Amino acid sequence: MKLLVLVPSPEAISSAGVRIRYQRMAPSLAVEGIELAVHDIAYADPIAADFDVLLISKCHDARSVVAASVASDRGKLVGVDLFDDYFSQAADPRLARYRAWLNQVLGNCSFALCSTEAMARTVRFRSPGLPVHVMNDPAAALDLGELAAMLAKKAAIARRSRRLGVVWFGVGDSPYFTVGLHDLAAWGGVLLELTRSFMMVELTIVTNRRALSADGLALIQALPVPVRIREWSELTEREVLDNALVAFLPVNAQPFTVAKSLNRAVTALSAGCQVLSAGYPLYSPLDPLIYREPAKLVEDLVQGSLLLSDRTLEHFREKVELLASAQVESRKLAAFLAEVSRPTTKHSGVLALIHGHSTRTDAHQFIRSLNGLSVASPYCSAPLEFDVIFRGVGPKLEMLLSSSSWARLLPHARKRVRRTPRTGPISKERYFWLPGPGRKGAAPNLSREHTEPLPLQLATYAPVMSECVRRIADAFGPCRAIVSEMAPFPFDASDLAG
Amino acid sequence: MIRRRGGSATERASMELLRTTDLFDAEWYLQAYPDVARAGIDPLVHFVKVGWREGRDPGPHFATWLYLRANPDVARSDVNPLCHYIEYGHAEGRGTFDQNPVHETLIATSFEFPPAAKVVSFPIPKTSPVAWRRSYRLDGGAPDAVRIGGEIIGYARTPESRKAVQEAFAVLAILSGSASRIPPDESSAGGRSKETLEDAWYVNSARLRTRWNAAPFPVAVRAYQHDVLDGGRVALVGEALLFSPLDLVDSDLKNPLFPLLFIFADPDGALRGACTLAFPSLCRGGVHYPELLAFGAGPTGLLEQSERLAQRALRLISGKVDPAVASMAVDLTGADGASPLFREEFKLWLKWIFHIPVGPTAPPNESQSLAEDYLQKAVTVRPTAGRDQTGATLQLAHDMVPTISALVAGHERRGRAATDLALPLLIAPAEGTGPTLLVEIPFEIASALPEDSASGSTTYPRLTASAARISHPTIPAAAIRMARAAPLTDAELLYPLGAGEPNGRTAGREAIGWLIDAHSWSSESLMNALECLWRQDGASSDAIAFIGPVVREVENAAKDRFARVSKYKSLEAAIAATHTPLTGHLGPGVLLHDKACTSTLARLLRGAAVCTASCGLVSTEKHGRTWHTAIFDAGEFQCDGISLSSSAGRAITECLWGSCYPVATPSAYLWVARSIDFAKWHNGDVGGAIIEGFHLCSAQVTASHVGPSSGSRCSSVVPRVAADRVTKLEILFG
Repeated sequence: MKLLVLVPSPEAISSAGVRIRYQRMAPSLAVEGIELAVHDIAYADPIAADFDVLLISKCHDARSVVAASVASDRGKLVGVDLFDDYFSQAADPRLARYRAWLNQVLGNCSFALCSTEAMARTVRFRSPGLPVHVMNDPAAALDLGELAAMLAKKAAIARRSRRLGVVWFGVGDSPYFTVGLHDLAAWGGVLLELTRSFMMVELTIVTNRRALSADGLALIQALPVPVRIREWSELTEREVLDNALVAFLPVNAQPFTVAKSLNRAVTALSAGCQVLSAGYPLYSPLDPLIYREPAKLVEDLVQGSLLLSDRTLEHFREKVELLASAQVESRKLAAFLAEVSRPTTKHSGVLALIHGHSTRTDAHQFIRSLNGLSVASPYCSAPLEFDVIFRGVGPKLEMLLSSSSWARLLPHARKRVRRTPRTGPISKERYFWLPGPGRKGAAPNLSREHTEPLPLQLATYAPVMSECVRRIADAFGPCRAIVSEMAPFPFDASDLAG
Repeated sequence: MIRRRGGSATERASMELLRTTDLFDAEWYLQAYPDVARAGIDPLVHFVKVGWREGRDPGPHFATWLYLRANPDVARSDVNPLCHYIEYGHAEGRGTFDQNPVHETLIATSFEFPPAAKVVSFPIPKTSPVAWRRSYRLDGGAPDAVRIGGEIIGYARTPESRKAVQEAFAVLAILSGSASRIPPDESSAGGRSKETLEDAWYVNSARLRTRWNAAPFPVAVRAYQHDVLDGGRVALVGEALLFSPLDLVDSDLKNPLFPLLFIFADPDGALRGACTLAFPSLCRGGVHYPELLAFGAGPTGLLEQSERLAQRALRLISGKVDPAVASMAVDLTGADGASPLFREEFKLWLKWIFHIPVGPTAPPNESQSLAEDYLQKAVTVRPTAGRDQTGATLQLAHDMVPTISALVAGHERRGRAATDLALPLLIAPAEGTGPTLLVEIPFEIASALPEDSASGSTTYPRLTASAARISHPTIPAAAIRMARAAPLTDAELLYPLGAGEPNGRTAGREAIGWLIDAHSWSSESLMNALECLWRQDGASSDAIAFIGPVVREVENAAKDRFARVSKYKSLEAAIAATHTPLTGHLGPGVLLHDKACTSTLARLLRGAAVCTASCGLVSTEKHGRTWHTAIFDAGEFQCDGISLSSSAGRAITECLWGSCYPVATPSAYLWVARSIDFAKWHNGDVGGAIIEGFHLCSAQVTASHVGPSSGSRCSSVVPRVAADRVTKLEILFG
């Protein structure tokens, strides 16, 4: 079985996330008979590519929906892999785009992979009945001998120096959520409790540069212990973890964070750090290796009975085996995929990508490469070579066709085409005009333009987009419509007629 | 791995310095640490590079770890402790923790400097180091030594000074929840010191920096706190010798909210006086600093306000008055568990000092998620000793904290009473973004809102009682909320509660007759407005009343969509012909972008005390290729007796976003009222220009305004409501 993972960019292929979640799995998946490949979606060809299972990963745009739709039509298993919860906070209008994307992509999937059970609950809420499999992030291979030596050395140095080297590592900010440094500052009191032990606490923060804004530095400044700041890199993270006795991992309880994986804690434990967690008990599956009480950690250090030590390494190995083993996860994934039913209903007709208020050039190129229709809605102002352009002219919604799409029209529609070429207002190409079918009961005054007031666009978006779909179906026959909408405003196309 | 040569300039300088002192003993070092000897490393190099960091002693007469433990300021500065001692510590009276103290003076440091170049000359008062006794060097065996809880505080030269200090500690213990004996005189809550606090602020979440005027200088200042996590032990948290009012005392607090006692002494340890700071969180940077501003006090009034609050707290503790607030309930909607109410130090403060139970507003249910379960447990406080439960429940949002005033308020049996009271809210600015705001919502609003109008989250503090009527406590504010750091995004302005998602908005509503002053509209914009109106939930049963001439195209478009369309020559005729239960006004330039807008407004009118319902209006402008959205009109507030438009009060509007609040008049552009009320207002049957009830503005939904501002005759019919029915705003500067 060939498993093709689509990621959003070439950089993503070499990212730590892909390395941890997929590359670590590759050898053990091979043992299970699954050949893994990770491709940039921009260069993927879901029509011709040789794969049995397609997995969408972090591609939060219309290309992934198109790819899923095409692959599903080929009878391939299509799944989406979800590990960041941008979908549960339904009252947040900023995240409407992500929710709309998830609804579209799930409609073309045979299954979903999730990094945690919390993430799986979100998917089940959105798409009841869809098979969902929780695949834990696999940990790196453990060298228990080296780990034992490291643990002993760290504990001895801490006892002798009475200095607690504490590390906080990770992404320090988010455009949507209060996470990272906010959590560190919120649970700074835990670090204060560590100082009660007559140990000196030295905190090292390893985080991304963007998080170290004025606001981020103000959060750090409020911490009650001395702090060193290092810019994140894999090497720096490893170096700091190798030298720290404690990894402090506070977690808040918003949906985005409770859906996170055990990854950070497993990484810290694997580097010989004691994990001190606070807030939401995200890492409780790793109990009893996780500290919740700072006083207990210090007491255990003094008494030489730290939770992660040479005595408990075998237990840690068992935990990793249970929760973060590439072999176990591969075996479970193979069993799951074997049970998932292949899509049987093949969609007929044309695949149309309708570009909304804001779209992506690469989405346009992607649908063109798959011989689908790239359609500009009247809200779209991108200057691309669309196959179909909808424009508002007076009270009417005007449909313009490119020369190439003219040939794909149904016979009855072809007869209606006015051969007087018209130039589309957002393209230099020549377009032909296709008058509407004069459908009875059509909503009056559906003409809208991207130049009109934004509130008017918001109010009319859903019915106008639905009308576009109807007009495409009238011209080209049965149509599968996918909306490409990247606008920061919550344009609502949930009622889109397909 | 240790390099044998080189190192940083600091390390080289340290080695140079340590070669001059016999406190570093190379031979002893190698004997004491055979691993260093086995590695063949120069002991001095080892000590300078890693040894001191590992807590190793440089010789038999200097204890590295004890030095750092006794001098946390040195520990924080990450300097070699022995170098620090030689260069500064000795002159500052710090000890070596030598087992044999005779060696403390054996420092051979003499340097020969070349003559300094003369750059500028002005008189500089000569100072010489003042020998002073740090607390760990106070002699516990002295006959006049004063001990509190095992800690030596200083020397009492007179019985009066001993008594004053002991009483101050007794009050500290009571205010800290570590003792139950009630002092005979509550006026002693602030101590009786002559020293005055010049300024106090938090430099981080646990370090309080204070500045004192405590003439005659020099004076030693020591700060003490009860440490509840250490069995209530009295702990020294700060100590400094001050030479002037510009010198600082840093106190590393065990809990940043617990009371603090400052003891003043002569450098030799003779006690001068004491001063209690019962609520250090009132200091700048503390969670209750906005409350200090609400009292109209600056740093110099801090002690006075703190003492006043402490006296009220003592009256509650002594049982002389019943508490106004018996318990607290926290609305967990949208909570992430990271706000102050969830923090252990805050919960300890509520538990130990106020004995106040805290729980969630919604009881646990079987279907709740693990995160909800966690949040409910995390916010819960169960004090061992309960408060008088005859008081009411203070209901807060998860991101608020109760004011000290609310927690120490006594139950009052006079004044305005109800079973559900809205209380004033302080909105603290995000770092450096503006002044603190005091927002006073009319106290009856909580009971005036219809049941299903709540947005799902608590916007202002409420005092509720299940049966008994409760009185409005005389406090400046009941809660403090941090303003959001980032401005509202365009998406949040356009859809405050989300879009296209189930959020409690219902489609069913009563029919609305829309008054449209056609004179104020262009045909094109009116067509657009009608199209948006038609897409509203429940709009098909609405009626349109054009006042003035409209072109046929517009009239026909309206007739295609709405249940009834009429044209009138005058407003009077339109009102007389109204047959719908609700009347709405669609002013020029209004576009309803959210299809739940009118149903939300209609729902608010189910509240009997609600006169009109309007919503926030936003404007959108295209700048280049992007759109920018701003608040255009969200009602009028009262600020120092004058009306303040919502655009001027943007900060408050942003803080109230997503909720309903009463305003002086509805927006001139969009409102809905009961038709019968509107007819009365128009006919002048309200008996004056002011009516009872509320004009509610909902920021749970918004509408848009495009084009220039212009008036309409329809809005002038709506009278103002009484001033005490309007949200009041006070701007507080720190």
